[in-house]
Amino acid sequence: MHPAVGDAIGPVRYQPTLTNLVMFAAAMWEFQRIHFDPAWARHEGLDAPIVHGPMLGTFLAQALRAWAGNAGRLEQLRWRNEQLAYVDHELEVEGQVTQVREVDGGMVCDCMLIIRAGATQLVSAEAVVRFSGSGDP
Amino acid sequence: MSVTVAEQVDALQQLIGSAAWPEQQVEVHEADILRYVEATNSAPPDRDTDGVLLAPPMFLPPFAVGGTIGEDGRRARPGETVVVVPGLDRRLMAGCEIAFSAPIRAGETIVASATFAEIYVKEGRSGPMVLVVTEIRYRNRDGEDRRIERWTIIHR
Repeated sequence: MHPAVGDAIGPVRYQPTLTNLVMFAAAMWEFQRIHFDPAWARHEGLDAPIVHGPMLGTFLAQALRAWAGNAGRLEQLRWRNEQLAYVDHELEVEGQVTQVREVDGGMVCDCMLIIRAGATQLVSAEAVVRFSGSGDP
Repeated sequence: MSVTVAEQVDALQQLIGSAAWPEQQVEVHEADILRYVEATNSAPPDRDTDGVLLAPPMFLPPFAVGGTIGEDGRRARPGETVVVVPGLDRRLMAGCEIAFSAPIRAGETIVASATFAEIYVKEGRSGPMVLVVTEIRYRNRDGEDRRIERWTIIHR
């Protein structure tokens, strides 16, 4: 793989269901009810249960993995939540490579990503992915 | 005379550099990784040359146990310093910044230490907000870094 500025990342689509959110809560052993209890979510003023922050981070990391494959290693990931991500909404992760640098014989890529639901941007993110050696897998 | 948000933050800033909760450790099992992968529809995880399962980068084992769980399901960990800002009762996760060092591996014990990194006021559209940044460092028992996270929580 020879990453270049402007390379597209994604789009990759996810549609986290209530079952996914319950499974994620169980896997983390964290049970904040806004993530899986529709009545409680409404009690807190939300339209529906909302997707966990670390699950959104997971979607970003997965989209980067789908682009970089085994050759790339995620070194840094930073994201800002701008709008809430609700259960059952189709989320689309997409981005692009903004800079490619040669560091210690490898290629380091700066990337920008977003998560959106329809026309609404929910998350903005930056990532750094390192390709060792020549950039070839 | 009521205490202003700025005065509350001045007091809270004394927490910076202190532990947000006592160090925790947990052994990582293959099942923990596989459950996370299934919950997030992630690609099947890799194994190293010795056959040890390597977790995807965002995986964490279930550290949370004990303490108290409120009606809203939110846990106060054992010994956790819970930041409360009177008048700013809503807590929202603003974002996160993670530096990854190496994958978490099945069979290793991960040690998590959390420190208050920043506490500051920001003016929002609906008034002052307090932002609390907590840095959580994950290492194995040999002291090898796995990752460092900085989570920002908004109180508004």
